[in-house]
Amino acid sequence: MRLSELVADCKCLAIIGTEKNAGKTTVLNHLLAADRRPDQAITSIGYDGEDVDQVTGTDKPVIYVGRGTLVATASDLIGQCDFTRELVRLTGLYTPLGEVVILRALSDGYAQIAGPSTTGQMSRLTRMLQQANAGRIIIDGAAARKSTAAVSTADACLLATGASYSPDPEKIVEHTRHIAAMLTLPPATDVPETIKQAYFKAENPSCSTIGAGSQDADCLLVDHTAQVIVSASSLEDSAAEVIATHVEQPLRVYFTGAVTARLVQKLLERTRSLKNLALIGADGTRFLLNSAQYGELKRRGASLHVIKPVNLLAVTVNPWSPEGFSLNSKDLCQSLKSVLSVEVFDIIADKAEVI
Amino acid sequence: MNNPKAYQPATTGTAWVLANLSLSSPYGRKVLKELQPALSQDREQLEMSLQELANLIDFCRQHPEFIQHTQAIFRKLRNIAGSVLNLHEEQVPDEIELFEIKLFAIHSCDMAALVAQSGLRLADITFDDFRPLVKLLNPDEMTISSFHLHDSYSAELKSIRHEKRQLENQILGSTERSAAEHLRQQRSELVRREKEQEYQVRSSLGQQLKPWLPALTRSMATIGHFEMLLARAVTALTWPSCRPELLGQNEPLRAVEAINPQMYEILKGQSKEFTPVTIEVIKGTTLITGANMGGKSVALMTVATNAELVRLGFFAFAVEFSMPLFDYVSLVAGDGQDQASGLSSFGAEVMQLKELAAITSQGCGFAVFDEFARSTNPYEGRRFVQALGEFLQQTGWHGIIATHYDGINLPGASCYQVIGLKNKHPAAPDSSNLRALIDNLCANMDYRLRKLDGHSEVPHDALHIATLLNADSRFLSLLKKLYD
Repeated sequence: MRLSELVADCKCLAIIGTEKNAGKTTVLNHLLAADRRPDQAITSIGYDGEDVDQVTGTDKPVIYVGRGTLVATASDLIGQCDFTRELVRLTGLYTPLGEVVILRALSDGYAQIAGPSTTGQMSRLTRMLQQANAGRIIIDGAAARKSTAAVSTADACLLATGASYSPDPEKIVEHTRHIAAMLTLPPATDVPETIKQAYFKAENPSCSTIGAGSQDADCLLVDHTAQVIVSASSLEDSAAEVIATHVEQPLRVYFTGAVTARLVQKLLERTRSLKNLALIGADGTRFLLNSAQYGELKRRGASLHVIKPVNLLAVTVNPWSPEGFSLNSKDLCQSLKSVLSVEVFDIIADKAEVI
Repeated sequence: MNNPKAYQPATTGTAWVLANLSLSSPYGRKVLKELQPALSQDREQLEMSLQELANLIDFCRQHPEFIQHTQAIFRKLRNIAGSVLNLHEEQVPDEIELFEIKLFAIHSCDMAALVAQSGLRLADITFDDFRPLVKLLNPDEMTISSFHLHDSYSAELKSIRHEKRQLENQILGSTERSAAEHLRQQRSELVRREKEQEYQVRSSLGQQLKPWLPALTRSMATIGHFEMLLARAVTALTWPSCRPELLGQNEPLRAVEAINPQMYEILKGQSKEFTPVTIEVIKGTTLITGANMGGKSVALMTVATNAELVRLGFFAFAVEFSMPLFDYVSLVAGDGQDQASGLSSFGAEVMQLKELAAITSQGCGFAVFDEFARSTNPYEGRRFVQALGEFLQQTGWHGIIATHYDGINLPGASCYQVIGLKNKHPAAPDSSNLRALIDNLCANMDYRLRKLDGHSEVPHDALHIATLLNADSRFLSLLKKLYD
């Protein structure tokens, strides 16, 4: 099966990378060229100015869109898009590069895209794109840990990996396996209504009350009777202490923000058995721990869950590094396939055309 | 940036009403920001605005759907002031500016059509006809809510785009890399020419838009005023209200069953009812006395809020409301302790009074004093209130003083008393829950005002109220001994 066939039925697809320069935009261009459907829409989370175009060496990879494509981008970048266009909608969503505007390409051409960077704004944008009759939306994401807005809005996700992470294939495989594992953590069951509301508020800051304390408690400890027994701020070291003191009994800890490596480290230092503990994040992008910590948490019996699971469809491989070397793509793909439960695609070999 | 001229409401009730207005367009919000109260010399103008408002309220009462339909349009409006300013300054408009102006013209046409079809006639609100402007920015037969630099604006643009499109098809079909590269180079030259032509078209559209700028500027203001008027109508339909009658400066302010919308809503949230306030405030001094927790402050604020809202062009929240058109509505409340400036609550009152005294010669006004000099000793406090009453009578202002102090003797003053406890020996409640205690107290309290014929009287209900609030029993027994 080809990559374009695999994603053919997605309504909203996020492309995220293990690191920057992992080839996300190459995957996006590949999909746009492989399936020139007239109801396509594209946007991105924020503006990833650090990417380097693998093909042309320019600062930012260019995206080539077919006529009919809806492009949601910031107003300051419209001048850098060279397709003939129709302005479909002014979204009222603002980025550092101006308001996000929905354009319709009336011809083929190059696009520069910068979309919203928060989950709330991204879900509003995808609704507006759907109102403009987008049948498939592709969100150009960022590195996985920065792609919360993309994966929480999308119904499926591609993970791009490659030589940009390391010249050592083993390290690439281990890193990719860990990120894929985080993204595919299982969903939590029986989440209390109050907790669901806390997540909703965290994603829609305008709905919560402004003021000291309202954002601090992003870590909620829930006992076996589904009652919040205590809340804490994950930014403070005391949070690990609080968790450690309650971990004798079955305990679920819900994080509305990130689950940081620092917090997990403190927790591992303070406790022995974690068989009663479940750590729950909004989705896989929120778990910012490294693979050794994940291994240790599992070894001591802790379980990790998410509120919204990510539907990871495939991993794509870019054997080229921006530093100039390339790896043996076939071997790399084989090694990845042996540790992953999803399809692996070599985008350079598989690609129809380099624009 | 704060507008230095922005009006600061004197009462929290007015601030609450203004903050809760349904204004969704930037134009309506701008009118709110620039809102200024009417002065005594503006009586004729305010009468006309109130007549306009009365017409609109009548109309909306019969056609409630009209409010939703207009609000749907207000919500779509964006601020085009920046785009209009750029055109004034001869800048070539970009596509977003042209799009904004097109949308504004479309929404204005929709609003004009909606009002025309409704049969509503308002003297102050007339909409410019932007249909030719829409046509300019939408050359196609069908009006669409998107914008693009249409081929029909320039024959050359059309031919460049045609050529470009053919090249793009060739690029798509080309399999050989170097050939595709060659085609792409050709295309980039066409992109350059297309952008050049688009610039010409935008520049020409900018010129054609220039004659429309006065109408666009006028319409932004008209729409703002219309939205503000509608927002006032919505408030008048939300709470019991009446058209206020404006009187000469020597007449009394008369409120019949006035309410304070903010308190009304708070009480509604607790399933309680607001007791409407009926009072006549004469030129000179009106005294309100009454029990603690009897609602003196609420009565005072209700009258002041309504007087202030009337000056701002609102209907009064009352069954009947008449007042002279004041130049000032002022509030002096001792709870405004200003620690930042080093003033105690008493010091703050003295300073507020000083400011107020300075403006009394500049026009007619209405001032309310909530428990003036409450925090000083009763011996002197009573004298402060006595002097304030006499002072108000000399200024020719209308003033209300709510007070606790006994023995104020003001010939010519009008005196009211909160009726207070219905039963002079109420039983203490069983529950010590604060909410239950207050509910019980409310149930025992008659918040209405009673006009007194002679001097003011201060009811001695503090002991009863302390009993109702379930004060400590040892303390109460000590207290009761002192009463015997």
